[in-house]
Amino acid sequence: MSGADPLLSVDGLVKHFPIRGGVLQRQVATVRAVDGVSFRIGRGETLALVGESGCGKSTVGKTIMRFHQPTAGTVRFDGRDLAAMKPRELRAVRRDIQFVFQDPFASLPARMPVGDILAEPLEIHGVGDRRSRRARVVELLELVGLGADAVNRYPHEFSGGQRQRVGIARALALEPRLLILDEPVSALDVSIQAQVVNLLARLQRQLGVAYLFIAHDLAVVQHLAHRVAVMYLGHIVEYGDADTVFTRPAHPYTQALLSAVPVPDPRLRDLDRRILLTGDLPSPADPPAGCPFHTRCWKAEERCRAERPALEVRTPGGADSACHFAAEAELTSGPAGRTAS
Amino acid sequence: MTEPLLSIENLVTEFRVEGGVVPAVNGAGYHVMPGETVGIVGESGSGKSVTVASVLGLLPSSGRVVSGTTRFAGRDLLALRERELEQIRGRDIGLVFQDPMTALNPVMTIGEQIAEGLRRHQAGLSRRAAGARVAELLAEVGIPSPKERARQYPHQFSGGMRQRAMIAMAMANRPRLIIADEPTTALDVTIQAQILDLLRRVQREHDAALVMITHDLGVIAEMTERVVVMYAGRVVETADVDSIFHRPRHPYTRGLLRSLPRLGERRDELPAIGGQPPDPRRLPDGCSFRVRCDLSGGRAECGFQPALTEVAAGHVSACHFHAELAAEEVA
Repeated sequence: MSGADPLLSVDGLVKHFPIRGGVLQRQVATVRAVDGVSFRIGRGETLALVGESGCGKSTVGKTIMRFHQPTAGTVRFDGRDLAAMKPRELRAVRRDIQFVFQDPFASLPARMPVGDILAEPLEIHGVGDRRSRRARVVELLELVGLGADAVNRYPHEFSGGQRQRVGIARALALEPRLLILDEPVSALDVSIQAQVVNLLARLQRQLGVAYLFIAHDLAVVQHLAHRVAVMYLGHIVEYGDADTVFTRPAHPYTQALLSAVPVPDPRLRDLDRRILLTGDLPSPADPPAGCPFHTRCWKAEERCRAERPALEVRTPGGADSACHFAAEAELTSGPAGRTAS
Repeated sequence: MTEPLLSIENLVTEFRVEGGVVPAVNGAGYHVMPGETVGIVGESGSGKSVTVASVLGLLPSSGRVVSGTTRFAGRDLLALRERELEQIRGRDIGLVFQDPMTALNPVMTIGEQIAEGLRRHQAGLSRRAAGARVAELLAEVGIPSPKERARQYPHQFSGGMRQRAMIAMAMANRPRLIIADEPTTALDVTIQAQILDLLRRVQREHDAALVMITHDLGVIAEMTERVVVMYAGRVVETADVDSIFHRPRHPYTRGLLRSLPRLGERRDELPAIGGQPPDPRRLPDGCSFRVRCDLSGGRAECGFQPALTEVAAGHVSACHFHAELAAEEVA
């Protein structure tokens, strides 16, 4: 990242959800979905937020978009604090940050032809006149690889991959500077995933738009991300350059996660490179004390149960890692051969 | 030579929809040998799940098997009554589905459900013996405190634990065949690794055959010995797992493998397969893949349905131009 102001900076972001119960609907517990998360995204850059379900990655995206009010922390866009903004300023920033959902079918209005779906954000923000908006809609369709004849068709007439293209076109209508993409290719067929991944890479080169790419598929993430933040139970446990995180992960959770991805090559299957974690993810309503990962970690010692490790550089030239015993392991170039138990 | 445990031939299945019928399976077939692990891979609309549902009598009411033959352990499954099929499902064939929440009964405890399956197929098994066997099964699939967990309901289990319970249920009567339809698709990757490991272990211990239906080529590569690739309701290629991944002889298989993002290698552009997945209502004449195929080049032959041809020992491909792929070896 350049020395200039980052496009987005998130500092100490916290989002807790109350759990209410009993006849009085008193708050009986708190789900600590996001528990102090900080990261930066540079202009035209892709930061991937990865982790398993319940780690809080989607909540981070939604809290940045103000779908949720943050419990604590600041979100700065282009150097300006979103929380301190007047409603009018916030509306202007909203043009600059757009969201793409996992399921394009659920997120697109079913009764509207695609032309109207794409023109709607332009109308809401009073961009151009009818004619220029129509021209912009055609331009958007071509940008995402759909023909101009899509204008009069309805979402159900398209396949999943084409619908996701419509969703991306709509998000790009107002020329945003940041797209938050929440699992944008997870619902797509294998042969279509590659098309949409290529499209996202091309759009970024062409438009210079930055991505916050929220995903669980690490092979897809590696393909698109410049930098990666790995989340576990509401915390970022590893954060850095994508190549570093993927080839020399220092946090045991990242190592386990990468090693668990099935490799599409039968000749590599008996290499015993897999680190098999035992047990399930603890509940974010009752997270363990100390390091959030210690209940499943094969390196855990007394210190891990007592003291939460800070996210910082712990190995020479390595990524930031929140592990007292961080040590790089080379995973993708050969077998690591270890089983956690 | 040993007889196949399961064989499916020329299966045709269609669905009634408003204004007509839609073909879902268009003459598909494959076989599974005793103890063998076979992967069935395909995208949405490939017919991979409908084929199995047809064979097991689990089609929704709008679905109908039009023709074809299937044999399981020497018996013609399509000729059986529902009662007889029920006997086979859950006893000789264990089923594991993607979403255990829909397969499990939400108002019965996990233990009651497994015990019910045991007692249905093992006449004379006492309640107490069934209870003991349930705890044994839950322990076998790695569920901690099995006696206590048996008294809990499905919603009290995590996704991974529910899938373990479903595997316990599938294994309860020592089936000769396990059919797992996208068993790990809904699970996180670290839990997926646990469940795949478990499936591999129980299969080995019970000496059962395993049919693994999935869209995930990584899972196929890690789990299976032989692979059946389906596209638009047909089998387009079958071979041992190494040949499928390193010497594919169908352009669809080759295209899928090329388009896959892989950990540890970063390419500027993924060589994607063009076009859209097949729409069963509008299949092109001839080879269904020809509209997306980078080998066809619009050649006239592709207007005719290619037959499955043996291209090497145990390796069949349904492509007119399979020979053009023979020289290629995928690293």
